Amino acid sequence: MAKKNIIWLASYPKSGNTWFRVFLTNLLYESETPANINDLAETSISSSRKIFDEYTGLSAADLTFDEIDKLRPDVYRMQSEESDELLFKKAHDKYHWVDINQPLFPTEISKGAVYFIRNPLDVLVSFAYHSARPVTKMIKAINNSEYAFCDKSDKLQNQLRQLLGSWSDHVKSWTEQKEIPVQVMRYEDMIADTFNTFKQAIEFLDVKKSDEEIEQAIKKSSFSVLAEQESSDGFKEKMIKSKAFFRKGQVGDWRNHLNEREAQEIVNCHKDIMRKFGYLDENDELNF
Amino acid sequence: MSRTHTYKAFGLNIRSEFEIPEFLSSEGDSDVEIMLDKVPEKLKEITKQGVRYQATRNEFLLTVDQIAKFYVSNGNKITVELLKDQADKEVRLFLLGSAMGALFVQRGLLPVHGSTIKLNDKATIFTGLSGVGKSTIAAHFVQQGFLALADDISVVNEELQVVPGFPSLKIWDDVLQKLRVNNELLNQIRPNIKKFQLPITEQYFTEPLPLGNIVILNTKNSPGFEFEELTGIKKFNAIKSNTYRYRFVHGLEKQQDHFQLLNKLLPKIKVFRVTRPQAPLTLEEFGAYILNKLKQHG
Repeated sequence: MAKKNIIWLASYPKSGNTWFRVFLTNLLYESETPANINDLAETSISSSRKIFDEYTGLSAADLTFDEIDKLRPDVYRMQSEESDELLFKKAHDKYHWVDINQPLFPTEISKGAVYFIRNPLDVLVSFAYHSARPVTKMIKAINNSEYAFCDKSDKLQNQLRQLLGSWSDHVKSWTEQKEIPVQVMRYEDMIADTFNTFKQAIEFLDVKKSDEEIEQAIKKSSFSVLAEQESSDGFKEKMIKSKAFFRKGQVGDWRNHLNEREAQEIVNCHKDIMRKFGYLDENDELNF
Repeated sequence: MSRTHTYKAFGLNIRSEFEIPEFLSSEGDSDVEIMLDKVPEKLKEITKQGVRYQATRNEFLLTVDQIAKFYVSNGNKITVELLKDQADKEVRLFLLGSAMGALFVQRGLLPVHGSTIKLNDKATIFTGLSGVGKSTIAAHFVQQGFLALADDISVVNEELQVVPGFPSLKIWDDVLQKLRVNNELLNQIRPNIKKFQLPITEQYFTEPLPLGNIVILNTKNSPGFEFEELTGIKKFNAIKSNTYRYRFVHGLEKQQDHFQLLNKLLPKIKVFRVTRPQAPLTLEEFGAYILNKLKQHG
């Protein structure tokens, strides 16, 4: 009998996913001191090559991207079967079907998904910084329906390929699918009212914790704690070319980095979804 | 009766019903038989399952969709049921990988996930996670004139020697370019994967060699190299977790053999962790750094 014990922490990159993952770690594995950002479980990364190889008994390096995708649902099924606890798995893949009757993230083991969404203009600025690429290049990526992580075929990359699609494709894929219950978290709300948004998510996940425990976990995962940990010990999920993973985390920082034309290029491509999630008002003015 | 082929690989005489050009030819009685036949649908009394494999105490069954099913039994027989028209390089890729890996575990050997180079009359295994550059550093050392014993799976026997595997390395296209090797004459491992077989016939060492060092390769997202000798439980765990397909050991109920061999081995060897920046990969510099450190500590 399948157990519904996996929770997907899904998002386009740079949307608050890691922040929430650190918060959950602090909430679930209570300790006096804040959890170490470098001790977040490897099993919590759904595109881990190591986990895939272990569970399949094959080397992902010997398989094509499509062959890997077809096996990934079974890897998650097996992890679900082996675990008596709730498993949290970060995913940057869009929600998609690996063949006609099989989604990448199997319905029968999925308790739910928390989907993190952030103003694409701020995502863009953070993403460009994170990957040390020019803004113009990243605009192409965020607007590109074919966009994927780790999809080079001439070399071995550290994670499995992840199909992302454009920012809008990504948001739609998760928020419009009907297989897994999903709680949408707007980054801007997470910043403005951390306690209530995080508490809502915890209730959605059916994790029983008191308000005080939630407060404590939020404190241990504050931006300053994470940034300080990173500045003293580094963070292994940072890309090599960027200076820091935890950069600013501010809302509306795009205004300091994008010109009118660049901002418009993004807005034009993602108008519908930006309206739907409150990033554009009724006059199509930017809200953040 | 169909013609059979006899080879020497991983210290074993292997008789096969189909050609395995990756191996060196040999003669004499065989330790292992490889045949083409139907394999069991599933195993009875399964001790461990993976996504595409099942294991019992003496059996192992692996399916690679559209390629082949592999049934490994008693440490001396591999049955291959083809899911395509012939036992071509794609079939052999998985035969020489996961299927042989299970065979070694059944035989109580220690397969380490990595490549082996002969340094100062001893074997040094370069191990670490997939993608960390095990074959790459081996290829670099081969270009520098060192001899290699194995790539991807380095088998340690009861005498604590690394036994020679077969004379080629599997190298990704981007690394071939770094090594300035033209890929046009090389065999691509699979049609859609730009990884190539690089023959090392001239620089292949054909005798078992005492294991001296295991070097665990690691990467980080900051500049500079790091070097650390591992001792105690860290040393033990490092080898355990870099055992080729460690979950097979559990499935085949070979933990005891595995631990015994590890415990025998640990006092005789040194284990180091060497960490380099993820990028850029400067092979000459990294290779020189490793050699220098091994000279001081190895």
